[in-house]
Amino acid sequence: MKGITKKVCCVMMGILLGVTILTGCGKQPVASPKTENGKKETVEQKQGEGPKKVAFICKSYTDTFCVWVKDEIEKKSAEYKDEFSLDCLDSKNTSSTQIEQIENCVAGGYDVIIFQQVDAEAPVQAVKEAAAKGIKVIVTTGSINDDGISTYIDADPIQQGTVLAEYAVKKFPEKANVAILQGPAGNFHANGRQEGFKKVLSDKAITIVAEEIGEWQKDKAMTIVQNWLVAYPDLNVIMAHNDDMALGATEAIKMAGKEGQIQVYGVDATAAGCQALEAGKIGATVFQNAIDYAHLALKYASDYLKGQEIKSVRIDSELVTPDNVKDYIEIHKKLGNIK
Amino acid sequence: MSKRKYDVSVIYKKFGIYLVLLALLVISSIISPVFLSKANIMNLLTQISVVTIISCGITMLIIENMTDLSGGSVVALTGCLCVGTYKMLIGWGCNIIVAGVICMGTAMVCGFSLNLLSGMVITHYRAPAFIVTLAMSQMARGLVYLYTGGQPIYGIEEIAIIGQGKIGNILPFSVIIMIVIVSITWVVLNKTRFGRYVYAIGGNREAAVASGVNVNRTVLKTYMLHGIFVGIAGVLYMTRINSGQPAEGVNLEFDAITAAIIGGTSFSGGIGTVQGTICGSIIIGVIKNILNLLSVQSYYQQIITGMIIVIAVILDIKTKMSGK
Repeated sequence: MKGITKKVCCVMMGILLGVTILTGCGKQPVASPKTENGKKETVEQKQGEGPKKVAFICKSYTDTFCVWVKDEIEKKSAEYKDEFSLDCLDSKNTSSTQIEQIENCVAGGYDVIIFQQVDAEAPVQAVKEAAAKGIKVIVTTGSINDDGISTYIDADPIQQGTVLAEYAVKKFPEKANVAILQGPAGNFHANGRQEGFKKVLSDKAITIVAEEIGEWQKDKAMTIVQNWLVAYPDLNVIMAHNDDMALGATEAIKMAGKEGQIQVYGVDATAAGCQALEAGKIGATVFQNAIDYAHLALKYASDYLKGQEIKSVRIDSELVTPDNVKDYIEIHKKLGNIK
Repeated sequence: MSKRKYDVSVIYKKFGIYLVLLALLVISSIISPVFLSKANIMNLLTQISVVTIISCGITMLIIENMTDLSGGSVVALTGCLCVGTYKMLIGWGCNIIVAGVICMGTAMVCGFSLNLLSGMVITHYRAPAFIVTLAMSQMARGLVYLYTGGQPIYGIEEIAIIGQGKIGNILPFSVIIMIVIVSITWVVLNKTRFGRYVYAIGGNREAAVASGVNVNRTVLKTYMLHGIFVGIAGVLYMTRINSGQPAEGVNLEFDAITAAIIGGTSFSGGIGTVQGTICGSIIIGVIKNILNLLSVQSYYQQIITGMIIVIAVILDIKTKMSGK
């Protein structure tokens, strides 16, 4: 009997532990009032008195770029501390978690919810419900298909793909054989970047010999490129949807002893990407200004709370080449990404 | 089941999977002229090395009726710990070789301790290995995010030689390490008393207890050995990609379990060989490799991989049954 109790206890603790870790930083939902009147009253009450609350839901604490935006928002929020308090959550790159977090924030009486979308469709219903309760939703680094209910601050991934490809084709070897490392299937940014790449390449009638999904990951990209280098001895250009995959390609090229024979291009201008560009391992990348995203998102939240109107914007991304990479390395140094 | 029939079924089982592998190799070399090139074979072996190393320990655990679902996360943790430690030691002006040895040791100790912890909970409380190692997987992933702050570790230059370097520009270190670990596992399972205990526990736990096998200690030892292997796998994984990536290594344990099962290890315990597991691991590696070489679209790759695995398992079971 004692043994069984012990066993049950242990299993329960295991499950409890698992669940706690899984839901991690999710906030305790506050029970929302049931009646329609009750809801309105709470909203008015909370907008009338007490400090304002803003939630920032990060797409994933493991995505270098998303975390960078989160860090900038946290830093900058100190300047707004008289206007509102800020809480950060992690969606762990999972749509269902993100929806729960939006719902919890609505119930928890936040005034503004800023989030980085995991998916363009999944959170629409939750966002509509938030808007119905008078909560402003701002989407950053992405946008969702909600017919303009939320306000977005986003880059244009097609522009990112186009600006990179237009620069790259000028640098291409005479007979270019291009392979493309793609982001996850159905991802908004991957699709846009792909569209930008393809538009330019097909205009110039350049052959694409292979395309594979590398899931944004260095390890997967490295394995794919190793195999490509064997299958396509003529391959001389690799274009990746992000810098991590581009860096995976450079590792594979290094291991095959083909350094300098294959051009590699990436997007994101991460610290490691900029350093590789400076070292001549990759040809060019595109900088999404995380700082702009972060500062604008907070400014929008502040403006909204002051009663001003805010409008959706698309921020143009900047092309990073060997000529201007030093400026971006300086930015990363200031941020502490490069020591 | 009589002793003789048991032997026959094991022999058939072995041949079954070897034939599948042979067929796959022949087909691959026909449809892709570069498949059998030296460069591709070395690529293939380096690509499967991490999963194979994890699957060695997992084979032993599955034979014992245990399992490990924390492999992928612990690989991420030990790998990041390894490159992080190396970077720190070099920063302190430590000698390259000394730092290399210390950081590899750190990774192995880390893998060892975490698996020891899992093993202790499992044996002491007789808790299901499934849930305990699943919890460990969550904790290890949390720890690696905590350790790295969620950011990749870059600039680990010299240590990358473990994952990327080759002897005589041909034989990669990772392949040598894989072969060493496979050999150790083979010797442990076939030539030691401990190995016989492993089979005995999985075959019939009560009988093993009755004949004086210290089940808990054997299981604990298996987790400890597996933990060291996972530590080494982590070092290889992160040094191969020349950076410490805390978010990577997801689902590695499932690849390892799949390799063991394709290789004829039985989920009901007591049956399994490390040579079968290697076959399983090579089969998965070859499928991924050949589909890459042929540039099959990624969506189809997953469907085809799944189908071939099912076919391999069915063929394996069929050949095993025809022996009865």
